[in-house]
Amino acid sequence: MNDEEVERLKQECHVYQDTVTFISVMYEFGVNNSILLEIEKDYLGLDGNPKTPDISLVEVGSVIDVIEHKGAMSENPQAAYDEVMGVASKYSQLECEGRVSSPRVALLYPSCSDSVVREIRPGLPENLTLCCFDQSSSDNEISFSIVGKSKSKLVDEIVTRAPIKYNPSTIRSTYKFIKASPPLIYTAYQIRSQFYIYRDIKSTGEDEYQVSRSKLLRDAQTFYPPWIRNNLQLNSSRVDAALEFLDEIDFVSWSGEDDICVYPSKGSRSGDQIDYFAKRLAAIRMKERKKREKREMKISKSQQRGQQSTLTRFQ
Amino acid sequence: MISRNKLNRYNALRNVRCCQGTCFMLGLEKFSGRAHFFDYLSNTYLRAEVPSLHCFAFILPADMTPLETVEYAKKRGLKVTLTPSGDDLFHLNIGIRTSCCVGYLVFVDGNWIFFTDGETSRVTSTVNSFAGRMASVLRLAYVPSPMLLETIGRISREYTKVLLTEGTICTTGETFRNWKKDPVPFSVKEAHRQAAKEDGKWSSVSVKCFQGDREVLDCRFYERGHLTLYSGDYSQFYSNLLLPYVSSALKVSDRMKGRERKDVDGRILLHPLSFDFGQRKVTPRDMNLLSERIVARYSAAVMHPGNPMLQIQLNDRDDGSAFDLYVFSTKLEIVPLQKSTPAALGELVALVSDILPTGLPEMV
Repeated sequence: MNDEEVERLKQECHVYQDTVTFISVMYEFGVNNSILLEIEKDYLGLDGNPKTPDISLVEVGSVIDVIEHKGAMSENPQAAYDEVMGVASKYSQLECEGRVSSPRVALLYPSCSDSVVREIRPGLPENLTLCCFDQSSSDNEISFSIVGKSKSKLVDEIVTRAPIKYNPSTIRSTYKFIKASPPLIYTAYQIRSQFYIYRDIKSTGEDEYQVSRSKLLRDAQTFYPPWIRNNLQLNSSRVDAALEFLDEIDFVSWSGEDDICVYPSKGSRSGDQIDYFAKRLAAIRMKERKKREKREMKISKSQQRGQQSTLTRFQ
Repeated sequence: MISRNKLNRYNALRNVRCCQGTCFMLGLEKFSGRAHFFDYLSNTYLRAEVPSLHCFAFILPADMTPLETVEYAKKRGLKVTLTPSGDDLFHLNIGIRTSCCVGYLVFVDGNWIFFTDGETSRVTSTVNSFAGRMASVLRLAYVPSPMLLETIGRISREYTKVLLTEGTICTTGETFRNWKKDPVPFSVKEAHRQAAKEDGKWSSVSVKCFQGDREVLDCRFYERGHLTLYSGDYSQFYSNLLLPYVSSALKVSDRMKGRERKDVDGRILLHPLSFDFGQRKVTPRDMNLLSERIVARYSAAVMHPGNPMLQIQLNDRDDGSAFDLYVFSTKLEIVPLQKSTPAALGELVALVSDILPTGLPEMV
């Protein structure tokens, strides 16, 4: 078992939930302070593809501010530099309702990445605002500190009102998903939790029971925040991916139809479910990787043999 | 009056006989209904040479009758027989592995109470084991420690003197410490002080009630839906102790109702329940302990590992209720998700309170 991979998968889930919390807190911050923030809104990028900054501010039809939130950053300075530069170029020009604008871009990064960001800062564009946030040292507030000078009106608005207080249990139990993609095992656990809810008390003790996918989708929808509550397609693709994973590890039987057969006793004594799912996913991926490597080796060997025979033929 | 030890030996002997084919004294009797049953108890418990009477308060989901519950138990492979014996009275025989328990199930003020007699440890383990296996349809009622003390405090006003004779103080890490000193007059304040001194909570309390100089009741209260009459006047026990206890249990159950996460026109409504730790801080060790115990008991995932906040999302395996549990430095919150039954929430509150006994559940 690859312990590092398992830890990484679990860490992804924690970072995702922290990100959901952060983005949801910012949404409520906008509502409470009458700032018309756009959360995870799609714009058109320079390359014609949609771009979705975490937070943006639109004034008179133009996107004037964009904030990208990073829940975690690479510890490697070069990789971190590439990440930051990627953000700067991604949002350099955005098209909103036919109007192209060049917003001020800001990057919010976690306090644990402060040293690496300070290290790469001299090489970064001057018009990029860097702001460090601390979500982990207090359980009910997020504090911010700007690195250098702010060029972002929106970041200034946030920082002047910081620390931003919130109720963690309310936020975390209200919102469990945002538009940003959740880790597979995170969605799988949310779906698995939902299965228990559908269980009829009179069927407790039975080896299996049926659940309807459409009902599952409807109920999962309530864990999305208002700006994405009606995105049925997004939800169904996530739920389906989670169902495929649960089917793979024999927690359910699902053939893509509305009926899902749930095996409630599966994994019931396996401890922390996120940890268990991470182990199973890591094992599946390792198996696939080995299979792929074996296949590639086979192909390259046969290619070598082919080349040799061709060479022999032409000698 | 015969001594407690003698009585326990007598009870133990009878219980062994019971499991070999004979039966509990109470279970052997036949009654035409509830009134007849209560008459019998009133007359019998006036005598001193009777075994302890145990009363277990059960919470049943509203849509299931006791007969349906027993059918369910049979499906789960439990040996249970329930025979109607007049209005609101059933003869109940529970068999778990090699032990059994016989008595009567009576409907009392909205709760089903199981009356049985016999040795305390045997009866308790049989009924607890039965309730554990039936958790999706039946649970023992729960009266949190502070409420238990308040209930006894109210009861004590009816008597000239109430003596606290012994009890169990539960401390963090599940170290149960028996508290037994010379009997002292019962006082809620003093009982709280004693628990605080031990950094724990009372999980059971034994008292003797006096009218003038005459001892009229000797009994024990437990947090988990159990009340024992060792000796004394049954009528007084019923009206002055059992009914207030059941009423407290019902209040707790009522406060746990309707707390599900609701979506009202797109607005999410939550009804959390919190534990207050006052000046005492919840330590990382407490969080680890809680995390281990919750993950072992429920289908659960640690969504935030502590430092500074611990978040566990969990499901009750028996009835599917779902909760988010948050632990902060001085507070713990349970947020019911889309399904939350009073029994499952009560069970979770009781478990949390057993693990971290210094936290006081606020149920308003």
